[in-house]
Amino acid sequence: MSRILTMSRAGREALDWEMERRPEIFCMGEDVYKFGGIFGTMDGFGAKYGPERVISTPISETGFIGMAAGAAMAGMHPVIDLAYIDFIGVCYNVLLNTASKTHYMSGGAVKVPMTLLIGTGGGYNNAAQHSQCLHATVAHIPGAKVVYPSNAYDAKGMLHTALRDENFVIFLTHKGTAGVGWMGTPIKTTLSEVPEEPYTVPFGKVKVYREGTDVTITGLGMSVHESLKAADELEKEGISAEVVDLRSLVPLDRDGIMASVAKTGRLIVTDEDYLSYGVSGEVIATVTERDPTVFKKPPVRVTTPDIPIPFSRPLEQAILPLAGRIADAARKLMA
Amino acid sequence: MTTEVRIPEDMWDEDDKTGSIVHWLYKDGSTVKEGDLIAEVLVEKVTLELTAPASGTLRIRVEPEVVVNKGDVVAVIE
Repeated sequence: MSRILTMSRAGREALDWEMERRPEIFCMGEDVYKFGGIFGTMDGFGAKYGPERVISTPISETGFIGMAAGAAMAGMHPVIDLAYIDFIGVCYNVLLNTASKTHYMSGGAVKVPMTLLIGTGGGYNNAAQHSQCLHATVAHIPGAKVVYPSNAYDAKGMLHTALRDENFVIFLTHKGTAGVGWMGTPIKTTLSEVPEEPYTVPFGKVKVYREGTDVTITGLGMSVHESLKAADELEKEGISAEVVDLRSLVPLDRDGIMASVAKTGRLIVTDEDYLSYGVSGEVIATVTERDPTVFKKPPVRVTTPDIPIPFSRPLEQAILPLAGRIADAARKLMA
Repeated sequence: MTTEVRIPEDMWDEDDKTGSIVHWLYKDGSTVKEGDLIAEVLVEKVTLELTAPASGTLRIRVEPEVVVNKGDVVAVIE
């Protein structure tokens, strides 16, 4: 039996199933006990599991992320709702030096099974400190896995996988894809038929959303959905675009990226994170290192430029990697 | 037999507030069971749950983003 779920509800179902069966899992974060977290991932959990397993914290990321890492080393599996990725600055040391390094530095003796849920991205006029993606900033840290589902089916399956992982997983969701009512009507391509039964989706495999022959468009999070819109437009003009969802940044499915570009010979990398030193460069480097001769034209990046995200709606819309910019890039590549 | 699916009078407290369907969990024409969660309803920033009052075939009458009031018929179950 399956229903059409939003990403938020699909993720909640996975977390609920695991919590029912595994007493070592507990939730922590701001507004999780009564409100269920800003994205509803823990909606109703306070009443169901009680205050010892659903812990609302003060606005004190440094403290509660540190507590979580300690609890994970002591045998628990904390699930932390960090709300927005813009807030990682204050708890970065724990991510950078503790949660991601302890397994290695203890010679494998100490594991840190901890799942960090974080919302990313903009597009809703929340200004420069509440609209960032910053996924490259966390994907750069050796020792942490970083995954980024873009639809409800993957959200549920990848959260089951994260909760069963023996080490630190950073689980990202673009706010605009979560399907929470206060962000507007859910985007259709984020909704999926989701089985009621548990299942896992492995980390480190791209998903080809749509097959094409002329140009590969890679995306992650929201940019997958903008790429799909662009592909619809391009199809009307006779351009066949293949849309590839990276889904997982660490591990990154370099074979999957290569396979698509080897087929199409053209690559557009879309990414809502900043242009420089990011995932978009990594994707292009992957293909270039393996076989630059597959490129019929130089690859193109469609990303947020290296500027603070504007509050103004027209300015923000102008800098985001939206469908219009992606389609224009494809037209130029095909010209 | 046909059962109307209404926005319950006690779904939210204030009578002067309106809501909207965020998302139907089933497609028009799907089979649903009594008690199944079938839609999410947004009132201000809060998402509320609408469950099926009967078992049968869901016929959606109100699409997402349309303003709804308490008591409005948003679907029928045949």
